[in-house]
Amino acid sequence: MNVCRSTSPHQQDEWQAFFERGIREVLTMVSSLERWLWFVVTIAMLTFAIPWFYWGDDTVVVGLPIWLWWHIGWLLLAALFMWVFTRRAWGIGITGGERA
Amino acid sequence: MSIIVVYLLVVLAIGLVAYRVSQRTAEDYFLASRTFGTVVLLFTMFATLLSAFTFFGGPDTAYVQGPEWILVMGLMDGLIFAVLWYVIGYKQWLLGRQHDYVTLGEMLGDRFGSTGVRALVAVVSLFWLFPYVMLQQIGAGAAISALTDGSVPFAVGASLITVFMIVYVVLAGMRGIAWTDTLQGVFMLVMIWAALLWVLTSVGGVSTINEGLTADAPQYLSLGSEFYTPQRMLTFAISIAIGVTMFPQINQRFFTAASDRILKRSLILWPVLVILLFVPAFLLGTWAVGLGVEADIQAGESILPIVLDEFTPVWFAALVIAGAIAAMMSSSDSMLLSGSSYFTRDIYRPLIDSSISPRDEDLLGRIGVVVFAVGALLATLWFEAGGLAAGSIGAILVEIGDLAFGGFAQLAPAVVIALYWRGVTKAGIFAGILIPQVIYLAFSFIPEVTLGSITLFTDVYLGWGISIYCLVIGVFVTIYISIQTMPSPEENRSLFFEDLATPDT
Repeated sequence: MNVCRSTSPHQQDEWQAFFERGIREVLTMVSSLERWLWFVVTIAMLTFAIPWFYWGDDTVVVGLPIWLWWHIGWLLLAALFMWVFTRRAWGIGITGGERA
Repeated sequence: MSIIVVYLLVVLAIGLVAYRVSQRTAEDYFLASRTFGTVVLLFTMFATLLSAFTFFGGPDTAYVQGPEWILVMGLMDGLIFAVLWYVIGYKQWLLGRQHDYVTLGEMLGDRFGSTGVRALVAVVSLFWLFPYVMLQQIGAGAAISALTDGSVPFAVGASLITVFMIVYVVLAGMRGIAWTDTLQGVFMLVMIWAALLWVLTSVGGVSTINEGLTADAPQYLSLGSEFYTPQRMLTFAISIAIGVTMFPQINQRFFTAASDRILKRSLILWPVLVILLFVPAFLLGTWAVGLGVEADIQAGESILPIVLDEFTPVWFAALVIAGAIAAMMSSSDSMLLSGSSYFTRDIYRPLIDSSISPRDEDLLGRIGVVVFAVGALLATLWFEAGGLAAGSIGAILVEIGDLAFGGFAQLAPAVVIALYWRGVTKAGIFAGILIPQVIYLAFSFIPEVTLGSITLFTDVYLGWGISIYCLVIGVFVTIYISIQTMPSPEENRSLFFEDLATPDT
């Protein structure tokens, strides 16, 4: 870190410590925000597996009820969600979710 | 029938190979030494979860009540179970690897320093598992007697299947069972899609079916019905998914993954696999209505074999039915194995002989399989001789099956809270397991009593099943008793937290 070349070695250390603390704080803030985000997205994923807004709807699309298509698409989306989760946030809530 | 025999021989051959490659230790017999790769883990979990229900009870429900059942099962098995696999299963896997746990009871017993907790988990589990094994035997006996038009009577059919299972499970252990699960899972996946396409091409496309549905059962195309209320769909999905995680044969599989990476891959593929199997299987049940195929579900008929008979060649229908019976057996195999492990590991070892060697424990586990299976068979035959009400196999499966799922589900609140909150005490987990069980049993089995405007001991309140209420009670009891009591000195409070080793990926 050669950010402030003109300052004395002592000041430089202080600056460095300040920066590092700041970066650490921002990172933990992001990760705790992200934890909440994963929680909310998971709840949403469970909530809308059954398309409540199609209740009573009997529209047929390509041979199947539209609500069945929604469900099929939703579970495929869930697989994608799992994929992102295992890459980004695996271990959250259990081992802390450090990225390898 | 000859197809079934060929099938059984193949299964037996796999069992023998598994026996040859396995070591003579309990950990290897019960958990295949935690070595499963993605495909085997995925399919053994899947095949164990399914049992006969996917091929008989499920399509029957979709036939009688409509295709919304697909949504219930998709939410239940595809999503809620997957989330729980992470929440409960991943943590259990980490702990199991670190401390060599083979059963759930063993893990909790270690955390609370209590043989009582360990034995309680095992006893509650065996209490629900036993009738569930009987159920599989009743199903198998009935299926064989139906296939042979009664020339092989129920008792003989059920006994033959049980003997075969004993031989197989004693030999094969977890590794062999998982291998056959994989084979059967792939086979059934291919067959059910083939069946779907076969039916579609022979009737001239889905529009014919939908015309029939619009004419005969237009309500099947719209979401929701008198049967499929949001409360009922959610009760089923939530309580069965939670119950499944506490079923010994499922819970034990949480321990078996070879690595972190394999768990991740399995979780990603899981919802896809669920959709791939359930959609065609249950659609066939619903389509039967549109095609005017009739089955008397009340009288014990099942819709899927009838549809196959009507639209596919005999050999193909026989293959699918053989596969379904094999699926039923593979679930029973897993149940016998895990039942035996709960008994030897959590009741015999801590209470009777704690100095047993791994090799002797392996032997005892195999003996346990025989005892458990024969006990269930005797109960089945006695039950049948006493005149089991002539209901449909499907209906009975749903009914008792759901009761056992609800019963197992009641273990979950205490277990999950203990996994994630260090404040749980020995008294807390004891009460948290016992009290919901007692209430659930009371409301399921005691006849209804009406006191003024309140009806006691019925199984649904405000549209929600009693199992859901018991789950909530379980949460409160576990937390409340834990706050009210002091942790006992032999508890190991940091075991699930600071002491948890992170995986070396």
